[in-house]
Amino acid sequence: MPKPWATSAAGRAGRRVVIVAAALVFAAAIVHRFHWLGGPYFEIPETIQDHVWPVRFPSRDAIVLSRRAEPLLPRDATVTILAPEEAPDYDQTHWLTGLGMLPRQHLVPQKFDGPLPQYVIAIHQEFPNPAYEKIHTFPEGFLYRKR
Amino acid sequence: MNEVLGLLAYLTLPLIGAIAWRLDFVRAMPLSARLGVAMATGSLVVALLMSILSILGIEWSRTVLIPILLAIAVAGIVMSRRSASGARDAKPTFALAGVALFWMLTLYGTLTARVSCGDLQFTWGPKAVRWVRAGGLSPQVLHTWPQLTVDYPPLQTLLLAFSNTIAHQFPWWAAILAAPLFFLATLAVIRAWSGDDLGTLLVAATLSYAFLLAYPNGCAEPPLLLFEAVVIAALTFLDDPRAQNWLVSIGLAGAVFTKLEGATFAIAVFLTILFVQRQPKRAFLTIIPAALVFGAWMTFVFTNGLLYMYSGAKLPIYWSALPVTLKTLLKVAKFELWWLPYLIPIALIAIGNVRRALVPVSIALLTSGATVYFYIHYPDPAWWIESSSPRVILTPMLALLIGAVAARPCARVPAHGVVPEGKETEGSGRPADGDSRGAVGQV
Repeated sequence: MPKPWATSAAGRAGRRVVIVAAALVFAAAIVHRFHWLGGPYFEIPETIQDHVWPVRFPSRDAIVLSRRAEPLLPRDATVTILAPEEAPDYDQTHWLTGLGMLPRQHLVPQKFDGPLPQYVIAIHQEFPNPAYEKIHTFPEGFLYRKR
Repeated sequence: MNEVLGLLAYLTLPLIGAIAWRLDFVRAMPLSARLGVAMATGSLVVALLMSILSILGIEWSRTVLIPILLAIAVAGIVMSRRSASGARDAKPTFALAGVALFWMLTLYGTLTARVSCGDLQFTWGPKAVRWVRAGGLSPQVLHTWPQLTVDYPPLQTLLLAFSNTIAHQFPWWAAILAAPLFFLATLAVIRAWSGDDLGTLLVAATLSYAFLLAYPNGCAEPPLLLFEAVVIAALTFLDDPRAQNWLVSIGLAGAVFTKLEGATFAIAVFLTILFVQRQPKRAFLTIIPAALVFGAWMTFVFTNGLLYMYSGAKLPIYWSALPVTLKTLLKVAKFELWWLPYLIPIALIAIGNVRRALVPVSIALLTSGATVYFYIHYPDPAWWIESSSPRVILTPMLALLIGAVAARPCARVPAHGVVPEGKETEGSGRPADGDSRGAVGQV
C-alpha cells in the first residue's frame, strides 16, 4: 500500500519543494567549485588539464612540453618524460602522457638502469644526468638527447 | 580542424544507431528518447564494427569505416521513415529549463577544462592513439605497453579511436566534449520515458555536480551511464515487455563492453530481474548479448595472454580491509556536500512510492555491494578507493536518482487506462499526469 502522502497533492508539492531546493543547492555548489578551481573563466584553455585543480598539475606541462618537443624528435626515437625532482620514483603519468601526445615516437618508462631512452623531456627542472646533453630549453622545461 | 572532425564523429553516433529505429516500439517514442537510444546503439555498433574489422585483419581507416557506417545509418533512417512517426515530446516546462541550465553548466566545465578525466591523458587516450597507429585493436600494442590496463573492456577506447580515425590526429577536446553529449542522451532517455521534468531536473542537477568531483569527461563513465540509464529506465518506466527486453539487452551489452564495472552491473540487473521482477525468462534472455560480448572480449584477452585486471577476482579477500573500505567509501560518497547526491534521492524514495522504485533500488544496493567486494581484495585499498571510486559510485547514484523519479507521488497509467488517484496499478512508474504520448506501453 502506498503511503498517504505518496499520492496526495501535498506529497507532490513537498516533492517539488525538495527538488527545487536541491537544484538550487547543487547550482550554488557547482558555481562555488568553478570559482575554487580558479580563472580565467571565459577562455578556452591551452590543454584539457588546465583547470582540473587550483594548482597547475605537472602533467599539464607534460602535455605542453610534448607538443613543443615533437617537431624536434626523430620518428621512432625512444623518449621518456619525467620531473627530475621526483627521482628516483618518477611519476608514471608523465611518460604515459607522452605516449598519447607523441604518436610517432616510442615512449618508454623512466628507467635508467638498462638501455637508455634516446631523448628525455624534463618538466620544470634540469635533468642532471651525464649521459645526456641539453638540446633545447622551453618555458616549461628542457629537452635532452643521449650523448 | 581535427577537433571539429573528432566531435563530428561523436555527433554521427545517433545517426549510426538509428538502426534501432527499425524496432516499432522505438519508433513510437518521442524524438528525444529515440536519439538517446540511437546514441547508445550507435556507440555499441561502432565499437563492435571496429572490433570485427580487427578480427578480420582489416585496418581501420576513413575509407573503410565511413562507407560501412554510412550504409548502416542510411539503412536505419530509410527503414524508420517508412512507418508512422513517433510520439511528440512532452510540452517543455519550467523544470526543463533547469535541466538545460545544468547541462550548460556541465558544458561550461568541460570547455574550461574543469572536469577532464586524468586517465584520458594517461590510459584511454594513449591506448586509442596507439591502436589507431597500429590500424586496429592490436595485442602487440598492449604487450609493448602493459601499463595501459590491457584487459579493460574496449568500447570507450574504440570510440576514442573512431574519433581519432575520422580526425586523423587525436582530438583531445572532442574526447572530453563527448561527455556532455552522452549526458544529454542520458537525460533525454530518463525524461522521455518517465515523463517527469521535475525528476529529470533532480537527475541533471545531481549528476552535473557529481561530475565536477568525479572528473568523468574523457573516461568511460559517460557512455557507461547512458547504457545503464537505458537499462534501469526501461525496466522502471516501460510497460511493453518486448521494449524492455530489447533495450535492456542493448544497454547490458554496451555496459559490459565499456567498463569492468559493467559486468557487475549486468549481474546486478540479472539478479534484480530474477528476484525483484520475478521474470527468469527475461533475466536470461536479456543477459545473452552481454554474455556473448563479454565472452568474445575475454577470448581475445586469454588468447593473447593479456589477463590483468580480471585476474583480481582470484585474489584473496581481506576482511581486515572492510572497515577502511567502508570508511573511505563513505568519505568519497560525501561529495563534499554532506552526502546530498545520495540522501536526496533516498529521501524522495522513502517518502514516495517505494514499490515503484524497487528495481533501481535493488540495482543501487547490488552495485554498491559489488564495489565494496572489489575493494576488499586489496589489503590497503584507501588510495585506490579515493582515486577511482568517485566515478565508480556514480552508478548507484544514477540508479537511486531514477528510483526517486519512479517513486514520485502520483497515480500512474497502466496499459489499459487511467487509474484513479490513490490507487495502485501494475503498470510502469510513468505518471498519469505526464504526457502519455511518451510512454511506450501506451502508444
